[in-house]
Amino acid sequence: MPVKHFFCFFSLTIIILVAGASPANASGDLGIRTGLGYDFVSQEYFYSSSRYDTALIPNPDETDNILLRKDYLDDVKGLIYLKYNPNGEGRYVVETGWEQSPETFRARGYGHAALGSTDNRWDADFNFDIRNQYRGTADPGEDLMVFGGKLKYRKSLSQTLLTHLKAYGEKVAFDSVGELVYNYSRFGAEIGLDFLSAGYNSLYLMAGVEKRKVPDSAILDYMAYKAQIGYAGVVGEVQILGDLSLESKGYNEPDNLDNYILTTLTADLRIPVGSDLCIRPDIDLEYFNFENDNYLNIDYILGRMGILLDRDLGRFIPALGPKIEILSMASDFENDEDYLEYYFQIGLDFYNSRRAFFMLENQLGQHRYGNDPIYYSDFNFNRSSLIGSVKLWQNLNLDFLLSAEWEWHEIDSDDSRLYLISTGLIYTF
Amino acid sequence: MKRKFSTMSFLFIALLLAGNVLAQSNGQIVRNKFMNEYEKTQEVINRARVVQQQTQTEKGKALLDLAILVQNSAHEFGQRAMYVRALEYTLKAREQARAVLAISLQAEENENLVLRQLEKTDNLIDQIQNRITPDVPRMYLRLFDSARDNQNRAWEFYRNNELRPALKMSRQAEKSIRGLLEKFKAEQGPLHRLRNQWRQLEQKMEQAQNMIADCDSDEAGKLMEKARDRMRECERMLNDGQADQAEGNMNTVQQMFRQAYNLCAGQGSLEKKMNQLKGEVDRYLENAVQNGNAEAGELMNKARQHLREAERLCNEGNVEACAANIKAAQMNVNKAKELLES
Repeated sequence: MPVKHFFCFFSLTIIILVAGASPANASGDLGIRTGLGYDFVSQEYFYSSSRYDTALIPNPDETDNILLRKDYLDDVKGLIYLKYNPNGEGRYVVETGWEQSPETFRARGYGHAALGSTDNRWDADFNFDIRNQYRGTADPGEDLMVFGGKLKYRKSLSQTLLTHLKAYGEKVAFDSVGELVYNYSRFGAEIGLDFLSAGYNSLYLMAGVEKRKVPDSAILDYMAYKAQIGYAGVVGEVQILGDLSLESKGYNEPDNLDNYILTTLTADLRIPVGSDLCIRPDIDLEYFNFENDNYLNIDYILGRMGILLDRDLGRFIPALGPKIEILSMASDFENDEDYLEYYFQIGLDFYNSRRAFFMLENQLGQHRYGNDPIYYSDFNFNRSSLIGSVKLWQNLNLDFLLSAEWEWHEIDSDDSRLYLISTGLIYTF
Repeated sequence: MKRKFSTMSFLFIALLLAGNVLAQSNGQIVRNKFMNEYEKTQEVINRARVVQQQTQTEKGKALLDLAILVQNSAHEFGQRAMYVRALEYTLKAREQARAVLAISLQAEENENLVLRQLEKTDNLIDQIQNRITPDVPRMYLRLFDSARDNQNRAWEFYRNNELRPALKMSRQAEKSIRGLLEKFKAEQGPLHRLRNQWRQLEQKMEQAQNMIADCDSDEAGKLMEKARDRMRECERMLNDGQADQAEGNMNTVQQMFRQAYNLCAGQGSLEKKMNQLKGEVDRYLENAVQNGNAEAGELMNKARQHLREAERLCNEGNVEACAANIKAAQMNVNKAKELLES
C-alpha cells in the first residue's frame, strides 16, 4: 500500500476511535492533536571569487559578489498525534504521532511514567523517532531510526538530603551512512546529591559518566566524565542560580588527539527592585582545553555577560539591557580569531493563558576582531526572534517560531543572513 | 713554483668541496624542515576538510580550496628543491586551513557546543514534564508541545550535521521552556494549591495563638514564635515560586502547631479554657433569656454544642480539633456578648 494511503488510513482510524471514545473521556485521558505546518530554514550569503584571492589584496574587488542561498528545510507537513494520559494527572503519559511532508514521513513517540511519592520516586521515559524519505533518493543521514530511554530514581535520605540516580541510553541507526554520518549508541549514568538548607535553598552535586560506541569507526568512540556543583536559592531577596561544571572527554585516537577538558561557570541572579522591577545580571564562562597541545587543537576561553532590567506589568513583561561576549583562542597567528561582541537586547513577553502568548526579542550590536584579520571582517548585526501561539477558535491554535539574523560586514562579500520559520495550525481534541 | 701552485690548487679545491658540503648540509636541513611542516599542514587541511563538510559554508569552502591550492604550490616548489619558497607557501596554507577551523567555532558550528545546547534543553524539558497536566491552561500546553517539536527538529538537524540550524532551533526551544517555567512559578501547579493551604494555615496560626496565650508553657510560646518565622519564610517562598520548599516549610509549621497544642494540653490549659467558657455561656444564656434575645440565646446554645464536642475531642487526644471547637465557642460567646450589650 503506498505510504500516503497508509497515512490516510491510519489517521482516519485514529480519528474514528477517538471520536467514538470521546464522550467517555471528558476528563482528558485521551487527546488528539492534528494539523498542518510549514518549516523553512535558509541561509543567504555572498560569494566573491576575489575575496580569497591568492594575493590576499587588502581591498578585494567586490563587484563580482554573487548572492547565494542554502535551504536547510522547506517543508509543508501534515501531522496527527494521539496522547493517552490516564486519570489526567500527568504521571503516566504516552503520545505517538505521524508527520508527513511531500517527500518524507516521520513516526514519533514518547512515554513517561512516574511511580511513588516525592520522597521515594521512580521516573521512566522512552522516545522513538523514525524518518523515511519515500519520494526521491535519500542522502546519507536522511533516513534514520532513533530509540532512547531513561530511568531515574529519587529518594529523600532525610529532611535536608535528597539523592538521585539516573541511567540513560540512545541508539541511532541510519539507512545509509557516509563520511560524517554514522550509526552510534550512547549510554550514561549519573548520581546526584541535593543538600537543602533550613531555608530550603539547595546545594547540589552531580557526577556522571557517558560512553559512545560507533561501530564503523573506533576513533569516534568516546568516554566522558562529568561533574557539577551548583546552588539554587535565595539570599535575602535575591534569587541565585549558579554552577561550576567539568567535562572530560577522551576519544579513541592516538596521542590523546581531540581529548579535552571543558570547564564552565554560570551564574544568574534575579534582584527585585521595588514592586515590579527586576535586575537580572548573568555570566557564562567557558574554558576549552585540549590535552594534546598540537597545532590541530585550539584551546579557547569564551566569556558572556550581561544585565537586563525587566518590569512585570501583569500580562506584559518588557526587558532591556546590554550584553557582551569575548573570545580568546590560543592561536599561533597573532590572535586573529579573538573577538569582542557587544549588543543591546530588547525583549517583550506577553501571556494570556486563555488566548495567546508570545516572546519577542531583538539584539542589535557589533562584532569586532582585536587585530585586523585577513580572513574575517568586523560586522554589525541584528538578531530577531518571535515565538508564540494564538488561539484562533475554540481548540484551533496557530503556533509560530520566526527567527532572523542579519550580518553587515566591512567587506560586503562576508555579509550573510539566516532565516528560520516554523509554523503550525493545530487542532486539539 | 710548481709545488706552490699545487698547494694553492689543492687548498682551493678543498675549500670548494667544503663549501659544497656545507651548502648541501644546509639544504638538507631546510628540506627536512619543509617536509616536516608540509606534513603538519596536510593534517590541518584534512581536519579542515572534515569540519567544512559539517558546516558547509561557502566561506569555509573558498578558504579550504585556497589552502589546498597554496599547499599544492608548496609541493611544486619542493619538487624543484626551492625549499625556502616551499616552506613559506606551506605555512601560508596552514594559516588558511586553520582559518576554516576557527570559522566553524565562531559561526557556532562547533559540534560540542551544539551537543551541549541540545542536552541543556533536554534537561529543561525533563524538569517541566511532570508539571504538564491536562488542567494546565491550553496555551501553556501549546507552548510546551511546540518547544518539544522544535527540540526534536534540532536533534534531527544535529544528526544530519546541520549544526547552525540545530543550535538555533534548540536555543529557541530553551527560550520557550524557560518562559513556561517562569509562568509556572508565578501562576500554576502546586503554587495555587499551596497558597490556599497557606491561607488555611494562617487561620490555624491565629487559633493556636489564642490558645497558647492562656498557656503557661514557655516552650509552647517559643515554638509559636518559630512557627511564625517559618510562616513568613513560607510566604516569601510562595511569592518566589519555590513550591517544593514552601510545602516542606508548611509541613514543619503544622508539626510545630501540634507540638505546641500538646504542650499546652499537658498543662491543662485547654480544660481551663473550656471551664471558663462554660461559665460564660451559662451566664450569658441566662441574660439572653431574661432579655428575650433569641438570637443571643441561639448563639449560646451553639457555643454549648461546640464545648461538648471540644470535651469529647480532648478526651480522645485530638488536641487540635478540640482547640478549634473551643475557638468556635469563644466566637459565639463574643458575638452574643455584643448583641446583649448593644
